[in-house]
Amino acid sequence: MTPWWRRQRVALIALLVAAVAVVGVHVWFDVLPAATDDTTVVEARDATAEVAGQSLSLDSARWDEFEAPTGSRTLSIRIESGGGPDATMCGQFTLAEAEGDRVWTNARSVLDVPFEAGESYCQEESGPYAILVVFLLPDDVEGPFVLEVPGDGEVARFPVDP
Amino acid sequence: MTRRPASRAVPLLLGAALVIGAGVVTAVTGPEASLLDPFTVGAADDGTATARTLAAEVTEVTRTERVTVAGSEWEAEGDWLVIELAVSAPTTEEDAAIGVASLLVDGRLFQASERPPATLVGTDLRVGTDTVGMVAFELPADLRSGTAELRLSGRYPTPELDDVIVFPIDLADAATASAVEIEEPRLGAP
Amino acid sequence: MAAGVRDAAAGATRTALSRRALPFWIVAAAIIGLLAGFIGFGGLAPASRTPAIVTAGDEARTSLYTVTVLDTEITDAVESQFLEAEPGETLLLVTVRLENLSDRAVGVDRSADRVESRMITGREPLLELSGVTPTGTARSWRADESRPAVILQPGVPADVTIAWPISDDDAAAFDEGTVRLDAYDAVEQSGQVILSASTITWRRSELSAQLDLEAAP
Repeated sequence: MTPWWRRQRVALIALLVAAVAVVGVHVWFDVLPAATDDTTVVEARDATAEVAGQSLSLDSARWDEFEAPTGSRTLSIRIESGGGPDATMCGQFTLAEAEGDRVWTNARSVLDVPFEAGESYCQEESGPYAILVVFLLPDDVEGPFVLEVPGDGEVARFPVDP
Repeated sequence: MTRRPASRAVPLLLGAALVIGAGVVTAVTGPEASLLDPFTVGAADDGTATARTLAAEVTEVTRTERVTVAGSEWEAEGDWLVIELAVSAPTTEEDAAIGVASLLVDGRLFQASERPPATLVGTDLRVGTDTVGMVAFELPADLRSGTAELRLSGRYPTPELDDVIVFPIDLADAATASAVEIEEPRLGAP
Repeated sequence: MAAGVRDAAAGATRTALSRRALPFWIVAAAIIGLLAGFIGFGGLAPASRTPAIVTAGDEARTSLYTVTVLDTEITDAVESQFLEAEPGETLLLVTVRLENLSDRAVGVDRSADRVESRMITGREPLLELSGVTPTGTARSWRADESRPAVILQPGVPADVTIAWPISDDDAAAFDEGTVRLDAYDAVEQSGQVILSASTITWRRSELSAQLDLEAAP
């Protein structure tokens, strides 16, 4: 007596082809488009990168410039921007651990940072200016870090090793 | 087809057993909505609960009849429960905040009162540094139960399939004060 | 022929009263019993009932909330809420005491963590003016002038001021006492919302009470 899978050969093959087709269509139309990340990463060379239509160069990174609660300290990063007519806005500055997964954002709003010390965000269409970003880091974090500046579909990454 | 009396009963018994089995399965299965319930995260031994986007610790629980806010003229009377929390973000500061703070008592779900001008709900949280603040709940006069559950979630509204921090609060154990001044959220250790 | 009819009748009676017809009689008795119960418990009574007329200061109670009219005012602007009437319009402010009788905190204007009451906004609000048509969306705030949107905690009464914009002509006709606040009953409906998770919405059902507004000063 032939085993049942030999008797139902045609049906089984048709079922297999249909299953592969279902998976393939799902992956092609649903999985792949969602996985592509279309932001290009611009690595800084010599602490300088072009993003948001302007040239940003990392000037300095200083610890403990501002008052922080016990158990934490501030890291202030100054960035010089060339400005220019093509300059546009950029997004939120983030500081990430180079080896680790913690991410910090600009903490100027909760610290006592004078307004004139520098801009918080990129400026549009202006002359050269300075940006000051202050991060509130716990004491157990030493670095190195990566500073990311998003703008216009690109992200500029600056290595920071204070 | 003739059957012996015993085997005539077998299909009946089988049918009855299946019906009872179906009844039990229906009764035991939770509602469909609970498939998407959030995951509850409780406190560890040191009192801190760490969820995916939120780490929190309850520092003080006070019941009072009058709440005021430092630096504001606002005040209110009633049956208030003021909870002081030390909260931080465990991994990233982007979009880190308490989205919903609710209190489950007596089968009723209360939201953190929107009336006080100072509240920890919605305040930006930091990684590695605690933010200390207060949430206030306005409770009805007819509370029967003595235990409550404080639920904190990192997004508004309460998310599905994400973490929700749960702290059991003993209302009978809470300190009582005639008035509590709610302070603005501040950085630092509690 | 009469004998044939009599025989047929006798035969029919025998069939009807035989043991094989028993299941039929059981089913018939059950149906009649159900119908009798249905009629006996008021199933044929008309579905709607007349809404109660409630004087200002008295409480109107629905299954999910209670509402009491405390004060009525007509004004052009409320500075503390940065609210001003358009030219040709004025604002009808009704201060009510609302108490949430359900098990979950609910928002008056907007939703509060997945519970939406639709009390004053939307196509079918639970609190609606009758006798006058508002010219825009209603706004609400607490009597203690806290800024964020009002949340009603279960079992905690709250004094809320609701503002409807109405035309100047309607405001002039107001003193005749034709305007009332309709309070509708509601049913908690939980369901999936597109893109988002399950939400509880208070869906309007029948008109429960009509509250008199005091004549405006």
